[in-house]
Amino acid sequence: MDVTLSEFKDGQRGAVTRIELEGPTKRRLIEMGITPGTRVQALKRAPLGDPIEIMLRGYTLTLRAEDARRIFVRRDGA
Amino acid sequence: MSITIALAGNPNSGKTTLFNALTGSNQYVGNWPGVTVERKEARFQIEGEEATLVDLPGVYSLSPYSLEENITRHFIAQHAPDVVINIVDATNIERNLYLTLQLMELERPVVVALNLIDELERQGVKVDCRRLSALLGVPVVPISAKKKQGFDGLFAAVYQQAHSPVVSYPARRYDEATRAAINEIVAALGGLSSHSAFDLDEHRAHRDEEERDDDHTPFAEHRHIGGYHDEGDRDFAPPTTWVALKILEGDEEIAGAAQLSPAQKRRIRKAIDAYVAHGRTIHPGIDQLTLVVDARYEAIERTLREAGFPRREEREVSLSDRIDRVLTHKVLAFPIFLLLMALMFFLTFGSVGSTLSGLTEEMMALLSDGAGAALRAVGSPAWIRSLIVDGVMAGVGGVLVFLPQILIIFLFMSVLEDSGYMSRAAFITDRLLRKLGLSGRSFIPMLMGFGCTTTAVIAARGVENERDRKMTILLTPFMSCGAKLPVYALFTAAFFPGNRGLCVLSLYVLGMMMMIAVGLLLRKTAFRRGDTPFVMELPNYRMPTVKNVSRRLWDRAKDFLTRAGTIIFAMSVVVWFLQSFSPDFKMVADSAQSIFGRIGAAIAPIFRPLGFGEWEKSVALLSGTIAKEAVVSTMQVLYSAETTQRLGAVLATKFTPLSAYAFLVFTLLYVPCVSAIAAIRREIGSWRLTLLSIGLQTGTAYIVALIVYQVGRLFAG
Amino acid sequence: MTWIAYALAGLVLLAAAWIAVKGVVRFIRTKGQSACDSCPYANTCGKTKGDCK
Repeated sequence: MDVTLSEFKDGQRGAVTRIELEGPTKRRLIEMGITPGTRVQALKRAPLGDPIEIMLRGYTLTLRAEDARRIFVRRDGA
Repeated sequence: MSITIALAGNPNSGKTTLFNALTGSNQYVGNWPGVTVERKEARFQIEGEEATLVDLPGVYSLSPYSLEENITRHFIAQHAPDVVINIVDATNIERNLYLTLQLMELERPVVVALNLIDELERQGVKVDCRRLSALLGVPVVPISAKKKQGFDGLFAAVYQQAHSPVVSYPARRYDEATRAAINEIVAALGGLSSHSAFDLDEHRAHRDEEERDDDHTPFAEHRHIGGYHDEGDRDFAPPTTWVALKILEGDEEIAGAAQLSPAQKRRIRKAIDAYVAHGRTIHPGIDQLTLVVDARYEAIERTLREAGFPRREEREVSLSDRIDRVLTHKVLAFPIFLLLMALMFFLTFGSVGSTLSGLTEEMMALLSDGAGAALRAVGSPAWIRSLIVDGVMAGVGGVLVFLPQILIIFLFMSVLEDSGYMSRAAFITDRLLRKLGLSGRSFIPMLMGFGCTTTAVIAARGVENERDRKMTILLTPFMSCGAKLPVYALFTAAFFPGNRGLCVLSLYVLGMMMMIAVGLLLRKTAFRRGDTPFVMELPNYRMPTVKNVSRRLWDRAKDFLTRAGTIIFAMSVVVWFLQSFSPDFKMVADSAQSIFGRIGAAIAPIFRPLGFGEWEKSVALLSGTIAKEAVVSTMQVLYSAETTQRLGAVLATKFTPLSAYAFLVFTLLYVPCVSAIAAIRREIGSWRLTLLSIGLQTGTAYIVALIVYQVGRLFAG
Repeated sequence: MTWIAYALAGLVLLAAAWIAVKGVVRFIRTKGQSACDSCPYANTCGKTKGDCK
């Protein structure tokens, strides 16, 4: 079952399945390593839940909740 | 013949630290994105040979969509350095190698400098550089930029690459489907040895025309290859494989410049469609760019696995994380931020700061009295005494006394920056800035505006979207600049002695509120919402080193003294002249009759509704367009106050607390100094917008000060 | 002894004039860039060889 990255609770892990973004944001995010099959882990959130910090490919990245809402991930154990 | 070496790498990978270490220069090492937005060069020696090291902006990739990437891409592709040192953060190696592959794809000799090796080893990971080097096909040298270790190996590798270059072809390691697509496109382009598909000369001529027009900002909407033209550029003859890769990625710039025939385009289209169709059998809905990016990452993963690098899947909770749990806490983050700002103001304008400037003041007073006495002793005529004591010493001294306070504030800011807190601030404020349609990325130039509007305007280049950049530039002047500090210090000491820090804090808060208000207004009217990707890294917290911080403070102090000794000095003399002589160049006793007095009398009525309609004040504000500190020095001269204390006393008779506050509000908001205006004009590229900025600032300043004064009067009865 | 005073005044006026003129000329020529070169409030800009263009 695919969920979006924004629905991940802190600490949860999974693998990216698809990315429904467009344009410069999409380009930036995939070049940073968010490609199908990549393993990600949710880490922390800013006040008001936005932006959020995730871990992937051995480093941490900050992205907006609205972008995270369009990144689909298969949760571990799901 | 000197060799050119480019230094490229991810932001925060230690590039600038390495640059400083190799060249002995003192480039500013920032701990947040967007610090290096220009190219920096320095000379040094490598194995006895002359070399020029060029520090390129930190980038994650070489796509043509942001200024930093363009600069890097242009330099490597067109300026063709002899060697590219790619600094790679070993603690973040997968993502860093993505750029490495792109650099290698350009087929210039590369040396990978694997930085932060010590960090990795501390985490218990052993690194086999030789194996990694063999797998990648380029020299991999372990270094520690901070500790200056590994440089011998680095120099040797660079020297070798400069003289007997070894170039590697990363595409050979990509997956089969990608390789097949590349080969097909290469064939369509005419084969490996063909560069005839590229005719950049046409583009170059076109570009030169535009450079000649001074109004053209090189990094505006047009994105020619790289964006500008340099002496040292050679003919753009990129490797065909690279061109093919870019076309496969969907890089519009390269595809456009390649001037393909319809037959070629059809053949290439077929290859791409086949590629995407194949990719979709594994990942439905995937596009060409993602496939190519994935091919690179897949190659990286494979290489690292074969080199024996363990994959960091888990994230151990680091100290930085624990600190962040508090500092970016859902509820606490904002209050903590405000508290820190308040603390800064209290220290600067309150007890510590004022005590220190009190001391400086006593010194200045002694000097001034001494000079006066000495001049009298040598029988100097009155006008000379006036020039020296009431002009130069008063004016310059009036600004110098604030050096301690300025240093305190910058000390605070330096510590916050160096520690890495500022990235968190951008993280926290992103949400707010989003309401203005901007992103946390705009927060950084705004914060720099806290020091100097000019710098902030230039730092706005880090904002990727052109529309957002312009808007950031228009909004930055609302953040009070450092040169205004003496004005605040002077007035708060004279009128709000018990609440100095609070008063200044209120001004800054007001400035931010106005910035938000104007920002919202601009959003609704002139600047529609842009698509600003906000993607950032939160670097680990660092302990600011005493050495770095003190060195920077020392530089600042020196610069401050220089500025006081030149600009303020010259201005004070000019002001003295203008207020001592009438329009027909005779000395006057009553300065209201002087040139300045006349000018002031003409302007002053405008300010009467604001509570400060006297000519001296208007003229002081006018002088603030040259340098904001001049507001203080000018008043010092005009009111014939030899010391800051005397000036404070005089001011107390010329202002009420309310009108003083209105004056401060006006100073806070009105037009920035000429150098900032010039920078705005340079960066924004049009006179129309620059005038808009000036009008915006002055207009807002007037209206808000007016409201403050008139409403305040109502309450005062 | 009054000459000391005059000499001082002359120096001051000369220096001020020179700084003013040189400053304005540099400013116009570099389109405002020169102001940053010795600005204590600026961070990166102006302190490096190479432009802030």
